[in-house]
Amino acid sequence: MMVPKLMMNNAARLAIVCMALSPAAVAAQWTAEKPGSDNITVLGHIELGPRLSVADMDMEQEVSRPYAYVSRMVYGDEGSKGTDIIDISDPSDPKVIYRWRIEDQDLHLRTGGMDVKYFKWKDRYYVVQSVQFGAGGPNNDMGAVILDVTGLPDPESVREVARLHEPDLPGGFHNIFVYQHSSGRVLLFSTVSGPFAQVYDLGNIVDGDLDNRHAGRVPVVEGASSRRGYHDFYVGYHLDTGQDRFYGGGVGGYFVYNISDLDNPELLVTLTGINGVRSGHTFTPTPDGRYVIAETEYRYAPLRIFDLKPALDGNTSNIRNPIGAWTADWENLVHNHEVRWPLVFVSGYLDGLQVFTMMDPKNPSTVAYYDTYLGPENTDRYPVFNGAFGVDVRNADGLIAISDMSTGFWTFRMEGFSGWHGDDWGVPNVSSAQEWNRFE
Amino acid sequence: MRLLVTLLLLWPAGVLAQGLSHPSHPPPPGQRGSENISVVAHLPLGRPGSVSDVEVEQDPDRPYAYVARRVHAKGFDVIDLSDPRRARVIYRWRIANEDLHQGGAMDGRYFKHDGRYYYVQSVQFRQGGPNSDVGAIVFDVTDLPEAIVEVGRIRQSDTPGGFHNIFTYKHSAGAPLLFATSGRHAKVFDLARFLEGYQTEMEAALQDENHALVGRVPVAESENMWSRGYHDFYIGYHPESGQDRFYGGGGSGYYVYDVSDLGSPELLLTILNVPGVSWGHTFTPSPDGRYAVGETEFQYQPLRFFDMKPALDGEVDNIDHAIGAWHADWRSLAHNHEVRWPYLFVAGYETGMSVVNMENPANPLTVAYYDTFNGRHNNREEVMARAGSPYTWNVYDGAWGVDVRNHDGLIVVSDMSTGFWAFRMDGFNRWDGRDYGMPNISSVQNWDDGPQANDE
Repeated sequence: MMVPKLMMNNAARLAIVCMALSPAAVAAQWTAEKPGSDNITVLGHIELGPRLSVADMDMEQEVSRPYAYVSRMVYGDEGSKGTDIIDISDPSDPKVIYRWRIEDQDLHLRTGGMDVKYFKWKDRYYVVQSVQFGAGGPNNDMGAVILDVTGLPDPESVREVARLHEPDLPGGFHNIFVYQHSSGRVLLFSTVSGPFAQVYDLGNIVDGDLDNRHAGRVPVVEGASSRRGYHDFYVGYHLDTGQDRFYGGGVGGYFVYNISDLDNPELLVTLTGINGVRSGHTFTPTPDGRYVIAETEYRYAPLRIFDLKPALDGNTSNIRNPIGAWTADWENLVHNHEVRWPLVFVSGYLDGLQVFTMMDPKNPSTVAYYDTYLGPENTDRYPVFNGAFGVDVRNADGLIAISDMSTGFWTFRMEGFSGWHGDDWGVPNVSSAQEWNRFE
Repeated sequence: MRLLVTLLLLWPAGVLAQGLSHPSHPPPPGQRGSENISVVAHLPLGRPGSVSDVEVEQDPDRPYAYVARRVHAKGFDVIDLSDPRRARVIYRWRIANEDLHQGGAMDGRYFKHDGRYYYVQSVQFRQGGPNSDVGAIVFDVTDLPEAIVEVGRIRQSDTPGGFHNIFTYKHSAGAPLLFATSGRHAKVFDLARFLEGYQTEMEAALQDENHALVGRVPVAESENMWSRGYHDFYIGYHPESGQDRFYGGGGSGYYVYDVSDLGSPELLLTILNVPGVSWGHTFTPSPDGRYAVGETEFQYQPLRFFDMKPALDGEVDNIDHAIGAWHADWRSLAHNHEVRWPYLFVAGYETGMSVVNMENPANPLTVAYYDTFNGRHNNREEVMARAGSPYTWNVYDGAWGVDVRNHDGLIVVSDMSTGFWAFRMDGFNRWDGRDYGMPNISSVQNWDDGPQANDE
């Protein structure tokens, strides 16, 4: 039935008023009509492919190299397995300029591209794409592919440099982290199917010295099964002690190691026996290493915030009680996060991009949001595993990027956040962003 | 115009479908409860943190509630509700030599047998003080409001530490039973046999403390068990199968047994490997036994709703996911609950009393609330000062127990710090499962005729 235009407008207005007044507006701040807070501006957005085909992302930190890398997986019914390279020289108009794909896509089983990190070595730029391919197809023992991306934006210049195979640890790398160690080495930390994080020397690898690719292992605590280890980790320099510290989430909880001497990782703190946490997931410290944000990957779990000081001061060896917690919507689950003290940028699955402040770690509070995923929960997969998967922040200018499992790649600006440097906040200038030139 | 009318018609339904939102805490003055909740009575009972569970008798001519006292005062208070608006404490039972006892009273349940009424008070006294082998103390309360008499004490010296939780159940075979958490089992005591034992003139010291122990419900073994015993349970008759069913929380989740034959409990299903649930706490089914509400006693954990049908139909042995969940405040934790389908009455620690509609268990909705606690949430220092324990982290205070009187819909709550409360909810004047197309099954027992007679 045709509805007169004026009546339609009135009806629509009434509907909007009703919805605004209803408790639903109180229960969920982000709606289809207003997916973002007033202090968030969407700069750019591009769809990348089918539903559930996008995983994690990374963004180069130099403004002169405006590139983002997005992992491509098949978690739903279809998609492609590899990496999309996106030109964000104009963040309001991101463009895919290169697509790396594993050959023989259909033969490669399981998800494909998962985590992705870039690094710089001897003035060249590289990307490490972690992969997971299932048994029964090719490359079940392959954990990562390394691309030389120095010549971007020329897509013809991208070339594959190496593949990391681990025949004794099949199943690939679920997560990776690239860290420039205080020794000057550029290291790749990877989750493997064993009770440890495998560490590679990326400089040796891209220099062709594959015999010396292994740089060490960071164990999980005793008692872990032989097949289960870490799920995720962060590695950061600790200014007060001059230590390189590893923060890992995995079987049993969370663990902090001093890895200044990679041959002898020293366990500093455990976070085990935490009520409601059987296995740790993403785990990120504040720049000074005092507080940590910990995720555990099940629906209804908030991000927990722990104070490591009692353990770092030697008053206890294990921490089991969080001092605070945060969630976007308790019925969902938030995923990865990036700390730019006092802000934490979160890729919150069904809740999209979320930003909260942990200035008071006991009382974190949401300061901005944009729901990149307005679709329904999954019925074919774990219900909340959809939406914003990965997040990154460019420190130079505060550009925020999100990879969404179904809606693709997004760029944002947050009002009043035009960059991040620890000195501006009275904390060490330590984040996931590496200072590649600091030893030059 | 039709569109406009349609929108207007749909709007209230949309509002209803979202339920109520609990206010921020502490709530503004005068806004502790939803408009459909009336406070009937409130009795502060003593020092903060001193109150534990609550039980209300169900017979219209016996208007008594019992509130367990766990620290500072160790025993229970009897409250006369003959005029609910003038509720008053008429009796305070305390263990002798209170200061010597390490621990206190926890759960309380009443039962009726041979025309007399009894109240069972579970206690937990640690070793290092007296009575660590006592799990429960049985009182004859028939002559209330005039007198109560201690009948005897149920001891289990092989599993000292008392009974954390108990449940009284009229079995389909006729016996009044006490289920009690003890060691690695839910131990089952025949209360009739217990009473008979103490009616002899035999010296108490010569009596077999297991003379009334008629069954043990085990915790099914699984990998990496969080605990080996039960924390809490509910037992209900299942009319469709004619079974007496035991719903236990503990171990590494939740367990359902057929306890029709107390000598051979039969495991019907488990609810294990649920993300976020490493341990089961309170666990209560819907009257028809299809759905169950599961609590796990950790901060930030919601109440979860499980559909047990796939397991009861034999399609799976284990249920590993919830179909719905509910929270009053995600920073807090809900504690005990009572199911009166479609309502779930919740004692929610710091969030006070809530009523949830679980008619659609995948989308439970808050339909009423009253904040009995009225204090700041999630404040570890304050909780330590009041309750002296960081148990369940920062939220161990507020509404502990809840009960519902079926014949008139009176709701009672015990709050750890603010005492005893009685409420009325608009439109809820009684509960009988048949009014909702359900078996007339709840925690309320038919002591005279047994559970088979509930639907007659």
